[in-house]
Amino acid sequence: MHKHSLKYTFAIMGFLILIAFYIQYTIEENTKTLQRSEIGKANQYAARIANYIQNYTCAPLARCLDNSVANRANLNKMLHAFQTKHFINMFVLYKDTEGNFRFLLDGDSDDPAEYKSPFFPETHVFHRIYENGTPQIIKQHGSVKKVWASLLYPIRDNNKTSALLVLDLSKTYEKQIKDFNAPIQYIVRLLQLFILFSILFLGYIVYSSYRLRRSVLVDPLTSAHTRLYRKEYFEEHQVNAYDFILIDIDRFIRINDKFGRDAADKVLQIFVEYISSIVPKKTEIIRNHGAEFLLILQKSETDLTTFSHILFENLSSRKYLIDNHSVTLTITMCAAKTPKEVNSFYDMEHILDKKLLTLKGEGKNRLAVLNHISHTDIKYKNIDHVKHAIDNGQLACLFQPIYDVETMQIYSYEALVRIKDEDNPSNLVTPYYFMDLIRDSIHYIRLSKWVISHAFSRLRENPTEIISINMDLADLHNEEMMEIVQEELKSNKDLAERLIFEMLEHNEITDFKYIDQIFKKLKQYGSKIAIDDFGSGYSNFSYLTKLDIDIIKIDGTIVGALENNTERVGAIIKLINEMGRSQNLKVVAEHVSSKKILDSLLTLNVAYLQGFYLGEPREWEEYHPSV
Amino acid sequence: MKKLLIFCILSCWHLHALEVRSTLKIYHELFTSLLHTSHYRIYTDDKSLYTVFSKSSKISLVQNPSSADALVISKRSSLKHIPHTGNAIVLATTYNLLHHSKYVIGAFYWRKGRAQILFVKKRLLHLGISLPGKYRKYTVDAL
Repeated sequence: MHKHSLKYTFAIMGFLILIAFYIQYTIEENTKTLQRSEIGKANQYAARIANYIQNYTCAPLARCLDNSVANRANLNKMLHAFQTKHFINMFVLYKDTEGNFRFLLDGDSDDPAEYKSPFFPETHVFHRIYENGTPQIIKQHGSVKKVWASLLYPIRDNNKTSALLVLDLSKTYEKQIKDFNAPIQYIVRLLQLFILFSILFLGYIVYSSYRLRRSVLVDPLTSAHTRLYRKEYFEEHQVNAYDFILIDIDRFIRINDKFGRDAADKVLQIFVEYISSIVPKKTEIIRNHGAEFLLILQKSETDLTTFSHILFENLSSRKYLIDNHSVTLTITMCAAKTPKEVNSFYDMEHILDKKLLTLKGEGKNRLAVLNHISHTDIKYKNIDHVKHAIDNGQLACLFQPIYDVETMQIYSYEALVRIKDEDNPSNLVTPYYFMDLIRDSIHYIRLSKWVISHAFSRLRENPTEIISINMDLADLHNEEMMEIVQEELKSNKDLAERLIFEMLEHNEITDFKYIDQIFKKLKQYGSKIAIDDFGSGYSNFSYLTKLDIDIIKIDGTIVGALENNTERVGAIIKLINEMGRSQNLKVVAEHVSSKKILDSLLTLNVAYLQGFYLGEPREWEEYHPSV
Repeated sequence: MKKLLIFCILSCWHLHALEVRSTLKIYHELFTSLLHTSHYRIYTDDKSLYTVFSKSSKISLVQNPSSADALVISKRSSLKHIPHTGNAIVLATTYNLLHHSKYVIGAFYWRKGRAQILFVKKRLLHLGISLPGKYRKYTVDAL
């Protein structure tokens, strides 16, 4: 049962209990009100009787009754007439000179008290009321038979009590009052019983749900939490309040194979227990799967770098005794400090997963601590964000000029795609972050199509300009991609001759014949082919002999090296430049980032230059103010 | 129905037992205070009291008033036969009997549902009986 459901269940249980108490309280109050009302009536009753006695006698009452036996008899009869099954006793007392109560009148006809016979009340309240003259009802205890309560009503002459009228209310009267609410009380009892059963039932459901929930959220083997728990955890907690450590036991399957499943399970249990004993108190341990664990650490609790190293050392040096064999586990671990801007755990998970994969690829038994992850790193290395940006047209195309040294005019522009950050559109994310993610997906094709269309629309608007677009050599093997490119070229035949394809490579070309055919197809519309990053990686001179190329762009790292090693690098650039010129190729040096590099390249007679020092990638309009 | 009947009978029996116990308790206190002994020989002309007293281990019931430590009288006729010069104290079960005979020093009876204990000071003095403090408030000079 979800935590919220649990809260609601307890709220309902609490509400039901409150209802039960409220109903009980209401019934009791109602009964008390009824009792008070009846006692009030008794009070009025007593007042009338006292008034009657006073009207038919003289003052003081005791002396007056002494003198008239007939009058006493009449008043006794009157009291008897007032007696009912509720008012079982009615008698009048006075205090003699010794301070003892004695009977003056008695309404009982069966067993009347003798005139002036002593009466010892069971409580001193009789005396008090006699003295203060204020009527009062007193509840009787078990020692007084058949009487529920007694109303003591002082009969006063000249502000002095001359006698005390006592009205005894019967226990049957009390029962009758209580029974007045009996049907409701009965229903209430049933309701309370129902509520009690409901609470018990709810309690049972809650307990069952708790057990079910625990079985789902807690890994039965290691007692670490499961991935589902992690999901729920971050529905209620801010991701950026935590740092993360992803731990994977290297080649754990070997333990399984060598010692058996039970032994491997035991190792996992000990491994998690050991982690629990090392990590700060509030750390959550999640078993992602198999032998991979995620630690969720509160930021304030520890320094991530120090702790990660300690943990790594401890876990790597821990020995496990399996079947009398001492075994040490190697682990690969990746720790990441969560940037403030991150609000989704999946962004962090993506980074951690990728890094762990890289570490394992590098040979396992390694630790990496990612202390400075940028928001862009997080966001645009996640396919979901990139896909969302492409779907929503959050795209921008910047243009970087390539200068013709001879004319000192812009020869062409390189189109460079960017993603506009949704939260901050002025932040343009470079393909460095997302291109690898989308390279083999439909999003890459959509993005490429958008760039080509954009380039053509710029060319149409500007009849003298030349634009180059980047294309991966691997794209030439992608039929869908090539169809799109050819369609665009067909539709823009008149513009195609001002379009340059800058070919990038990630893998070595093996089928030159096929590539050459494609180049020819592209060139039949008049477009030109440039080889990007020439001189680095696989781009080598053999391309020049096997492919019909128009332009070579010297690799930026070579050009950049001119800054510190002008002579040796200059010789390489000179060689490439001369070779290109000899083949009637245009040679472009990119990454011209300083005056020193520019001067060197001018000395080396490179015909075309590109770089931040000459012109940064900008919006088309910035290079074409009139437009 | 049988169960209900048994329940009613048991309830009545229980109530009766309670009443017997409370009556016995009061008489025990009275006899102990007046006779200054924990075991006493009692004569009574009241059949129901006889039954009650017979349940006490402290009370020995006697048939002859002259051999009793205390007499509990409920009939006026019995007053004629009681010895007036012996050491036995005489208690009554009604106010009338107390009023009627000067040899009766006190009475224990029920009035308006309340237990009433009553002693006459002069008669106590005459017999040289001194009441414990708790019973002094139940003494009167005149009836």
